[in-house]
Amino acid sequence: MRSSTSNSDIHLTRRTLPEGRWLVPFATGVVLLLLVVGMLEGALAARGFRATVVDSPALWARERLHASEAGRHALILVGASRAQLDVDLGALAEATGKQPVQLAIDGSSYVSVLADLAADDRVSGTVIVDYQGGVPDPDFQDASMRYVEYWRHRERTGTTYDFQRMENALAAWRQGTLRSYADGAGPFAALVSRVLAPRATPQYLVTLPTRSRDADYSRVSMPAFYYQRVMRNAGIEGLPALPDYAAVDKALADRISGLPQASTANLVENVGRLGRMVHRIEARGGKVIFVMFPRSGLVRAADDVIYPRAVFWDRIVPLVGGKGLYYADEPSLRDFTCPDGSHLDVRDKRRFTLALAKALEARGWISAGT
Amino acid sequence: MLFNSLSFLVFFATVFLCFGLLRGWGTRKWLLLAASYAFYTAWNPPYVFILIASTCLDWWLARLIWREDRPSRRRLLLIVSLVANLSLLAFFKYGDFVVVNTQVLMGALGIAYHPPLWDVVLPVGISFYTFASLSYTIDVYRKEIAADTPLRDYALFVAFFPHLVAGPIVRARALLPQIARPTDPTREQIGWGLTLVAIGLFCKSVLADTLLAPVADLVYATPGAHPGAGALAGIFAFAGQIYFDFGGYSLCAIGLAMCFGFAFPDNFRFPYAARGFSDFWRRWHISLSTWLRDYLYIPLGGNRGGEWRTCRNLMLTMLLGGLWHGASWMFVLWGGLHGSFLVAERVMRRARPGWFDDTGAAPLLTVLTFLLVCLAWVPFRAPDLATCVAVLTSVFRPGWPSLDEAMALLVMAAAVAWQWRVRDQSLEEAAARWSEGARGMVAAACLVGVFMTSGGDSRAFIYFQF
Repeated sequence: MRSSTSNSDIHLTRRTLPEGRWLVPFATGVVLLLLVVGMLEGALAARGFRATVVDSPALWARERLHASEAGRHALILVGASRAQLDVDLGALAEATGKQPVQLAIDGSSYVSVLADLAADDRVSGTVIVDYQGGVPDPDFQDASMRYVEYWRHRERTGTTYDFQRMENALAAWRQGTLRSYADGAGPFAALVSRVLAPRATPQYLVTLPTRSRDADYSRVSMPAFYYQRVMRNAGIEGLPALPDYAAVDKALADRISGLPQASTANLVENVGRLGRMVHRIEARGGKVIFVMFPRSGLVRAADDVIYPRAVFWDRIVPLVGGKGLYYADEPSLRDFTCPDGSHLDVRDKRRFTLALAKALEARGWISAGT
Repeated sequence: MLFNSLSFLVFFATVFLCFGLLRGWGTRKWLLLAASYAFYTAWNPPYVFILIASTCLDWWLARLIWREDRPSRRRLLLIVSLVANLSLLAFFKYGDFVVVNTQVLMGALGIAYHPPLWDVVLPVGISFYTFASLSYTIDVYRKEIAADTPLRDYALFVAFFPHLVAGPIVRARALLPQIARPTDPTREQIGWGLTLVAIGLFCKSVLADTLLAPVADLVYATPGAHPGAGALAGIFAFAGQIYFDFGGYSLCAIGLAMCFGFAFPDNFRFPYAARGFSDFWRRWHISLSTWLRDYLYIPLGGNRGGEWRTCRNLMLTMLLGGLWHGASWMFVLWGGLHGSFLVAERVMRRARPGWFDDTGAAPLLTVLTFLLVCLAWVPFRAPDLATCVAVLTSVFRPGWPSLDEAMALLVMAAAVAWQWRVRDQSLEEAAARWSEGARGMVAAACLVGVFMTSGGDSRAFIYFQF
């Protein structure tokens, strides 16, 4: 058998190594890497950045499994950013004795998630729906479908050894441990836009491993941030340059008062389908509670114009089982202020959650401490 | 499980640690075999049974061939092995291609044919392990190696995870003796192996995925939007992407194998500094080009039998080599272009024998070879002929490159210049001259580069799909 010394010989049985030491230099390289990682982490920490979890279908699927496994002990949150930012899961568990599960998906409709829960016979807990206004459309396909599809695929393929799941878990661990990966960024982006940028955007929003999120509005520039949110929520574009924020406030208020009301087309039919989902869950011993989370200022004004309560909420709630809590009806909830008009600050989160749990208990929809 | 994934890091660390702790060569081989099958199941668990079945069949057939004296029976057994392996490949890789093309052909003849949907997932690495396995039965048939290898050793040869899914296509007569002989990697082998892995990952993550792939992707997705230098940047960027992607993978494979004490051959040797196409194919995907040479070109007759037959054999080999990359006429076109280049070079070598060896003509020859190789990459990368034509015509429209495109051009210029400079050396010869400090800095630079570009969506290695 030939024993070649040419490394490009296809039949070689021994490679020629470059002379000298290689293990010590490689180990030195690893130490230098760790130094770079440490320096970047230190620089990010000094600028107030925290490691965050990045929300993903895999993370959602993990929580979704809890919703099925916890049975009637599950307290499942469905909806969008308000359910993620306003509710403190620890406080909710403490106040209700149940196992809170965060299934809200930022920027998405609750309908596809509710449909998925309704279709799963194992789900028999309490579902809190973050009602966002308007007529629900069970056929609307938005980002939440990606999460639901991922979960269904995982359910179909079973829980056997799965590389992708392991990779997701490791990536989630890395994101939850290192600031360099915060908010879905990578180390290079973190270096350029957070360490080297003289006026880096502060990290006001943090996603927690439970998929809940904390918003610290003391870290953003107010009231500019608030007005941006108002415009986004109300769908207003192209505001002219104005001399001060009072003028911006007035201009936005004027535009909001002229906004059209959302369509009520197919309300009865669509809500009827939603009602059937609710009925399926409740037939298994579960409960579905619709909650209108707090709004403030011009975001509230816009919602009142686009989705008048009498036209939407008051008609929809009776058709979906009658369990609806409107924040303005509850003295302990109505005085909370959303700094951006739409979400609560992290400092109000616990107090709001305890008040919400109490209000739900007072209506007999959940039993505290059980 | 990609080499540049976190799960592979954990997998490798675990296997390497266990390998070090275990005593006894037999136990270590069992560990590597089990780890390799676990590695393969990461893609599609049921397909590991195809790998095992293919392995057992070839091992058994090779033993029968080895024990058989009657030539006709030996030939029959070889044919069984060839048919079994190539049928497997044909079913998974070319089934849909055959069905679709049959439909088109029958449509052209006015016959309405509605074939069933061919929804079969290609087992990753099937082209590589099939070729590795075939080399064994053919070599046994040719009596170049003995078929006395235990099944475990043979299974490890086929499935050894560093080369399993994208090569290099290691030959049985190179790896089997290494598996048979107890091996304890030295400290420096481990150090150099890990350095190769770091360089390979840098090539993949920083150069291929971060600097070049986005430019190539954009140009090939919207060719009309990138006139002139931008389109050219896209073409060169893909040439760089596929080199750094596959070359980086090969370096990782060689380095990983070395950490366990095994030697894999080089798969690339500065191909963009090639002078002519025969030189290019001695430097690009060496394990495939030599496989095609030994098991296809030479059996077809090679350069024996006159000029016409040689050219025909070259063309057939390259067309089939193109098709090996995937079930698409674009790969066949790529193979056809390379076949034509090789034929043209052969004709020119006969017409002007001294020209190819003239050092004065070397720069021109290198540049010409590089440009034609890049030209051939266009149909390889383009999803269809229309995109291919659109990309090529875009080059002739005046326009400046964007910043990313300019960066890609700069990277490629540096890469080609460096390859030109070291074209007659090996990486080991270049690395031998580095001081220990420089070695540490190279390792650190590669590792930091990989860290800095981590965190996004990992791209699979291009050659995994072949």
